[in-house]
Amino acid sequence: MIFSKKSSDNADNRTEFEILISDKLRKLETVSMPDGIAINANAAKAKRRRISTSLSHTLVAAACLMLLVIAFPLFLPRTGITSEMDIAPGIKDESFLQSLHPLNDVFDMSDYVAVGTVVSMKDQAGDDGRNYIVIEVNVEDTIKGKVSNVATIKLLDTSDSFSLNDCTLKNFLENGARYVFITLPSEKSNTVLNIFQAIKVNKDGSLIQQYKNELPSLFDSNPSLLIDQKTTLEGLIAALRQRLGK
Amino acid sequence: MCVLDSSTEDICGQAIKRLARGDMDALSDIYQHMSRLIYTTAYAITENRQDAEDVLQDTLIEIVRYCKDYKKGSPKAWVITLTRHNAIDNVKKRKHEANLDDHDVSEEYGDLEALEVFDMLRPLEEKERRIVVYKLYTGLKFEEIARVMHMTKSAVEKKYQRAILKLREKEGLI
Repeated sequence: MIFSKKSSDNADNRTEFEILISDKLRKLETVSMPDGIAINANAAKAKRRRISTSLSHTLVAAACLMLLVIAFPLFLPRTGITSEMDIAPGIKDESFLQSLHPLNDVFDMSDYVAVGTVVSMKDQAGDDGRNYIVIEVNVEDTIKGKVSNVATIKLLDTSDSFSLNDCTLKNFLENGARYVFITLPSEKSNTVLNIFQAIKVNKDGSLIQQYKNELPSLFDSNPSLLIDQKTTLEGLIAALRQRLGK
Repeated sequence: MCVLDSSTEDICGQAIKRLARGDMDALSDIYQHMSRLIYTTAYAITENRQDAEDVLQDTLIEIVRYCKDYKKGSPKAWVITLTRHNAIDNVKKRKHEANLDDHDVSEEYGDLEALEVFDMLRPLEEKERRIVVYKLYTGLKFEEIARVMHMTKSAVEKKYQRAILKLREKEGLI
């Protein structure tokens, strides 16, 4: 019987079918690889680059890049996600609604979307031995989910695990600042919410930053909200409500 | 599992930390142990060798760029995160902009087998395909895949089960 076991997260407990698929995928390893890869700062812009060079060349190029990378943050303001890559350009009017399209996936999973001001953040040890961050939010507008004046967002503190570009939540959220919160419900408890995306609201209503889980917000095919400096809170909320059919 | 055993993962984790300290020789170790993982994962998802090479290149750049942010945990999951969030998506975006063909399989050795694999994966939606590749090729756990793909663990598990069902149907086993 080929499907005698239920699939498992443990590689040792795979079904025979999963092992079969795994073996087939491994056949891709027979495809020849390039001898070496050149690393340079323009690679991300290249549409096609066929470079086969020795690894020694790679290391020299990488050393140059390393210097560039070390120097690069000195020119950026320390506001969490800061590079230009993190702000999608030119999203306005008709294209703005289209840009929200990827959010369908997010809204399917999210049960709470709200605008609010962070009034406190504190660390808390969980019963499971892990560290959590508890964020108290004064809610001014609930777009999706249970309406309340106050929300407690409790999420796993991942700052001790890998993170990219200092984009951990602690480095992003500020006491007293307003955000649009889009949260994902925890599987274990409805009271523990994981922030999928938090968009900071400026005093003038413009939206300039976004936090997306623990990773830099890359706006390609990720189902995330795309924000540019011309996007206002008012426009965003209107679009969200329209998307949600309210 | 092919990809990386635990001792190799340790080596890679140490290499990333060495790289973060400025030891550029560590990049050689990372390339030696992880390039096949990155390349094959990208190839399985993009179905395009040139794209896979671009992904490998982009991912190595990201490793150099973000190595200081790696603290602990599975280096494999960390690298796949970089691969997924930067390299593959960027390549797909560039490809979309350039209106390039999806498929790029020659008749070189190994490519015919690749065609068989791609045909097997054909019924899957893109997310399902990624999840299957991450799960059954790279060996990531559901929780790790959930973090890579910004989904809940249960959503990943559901999509995975649905994908397996489709693959079984494709193989004529249902």
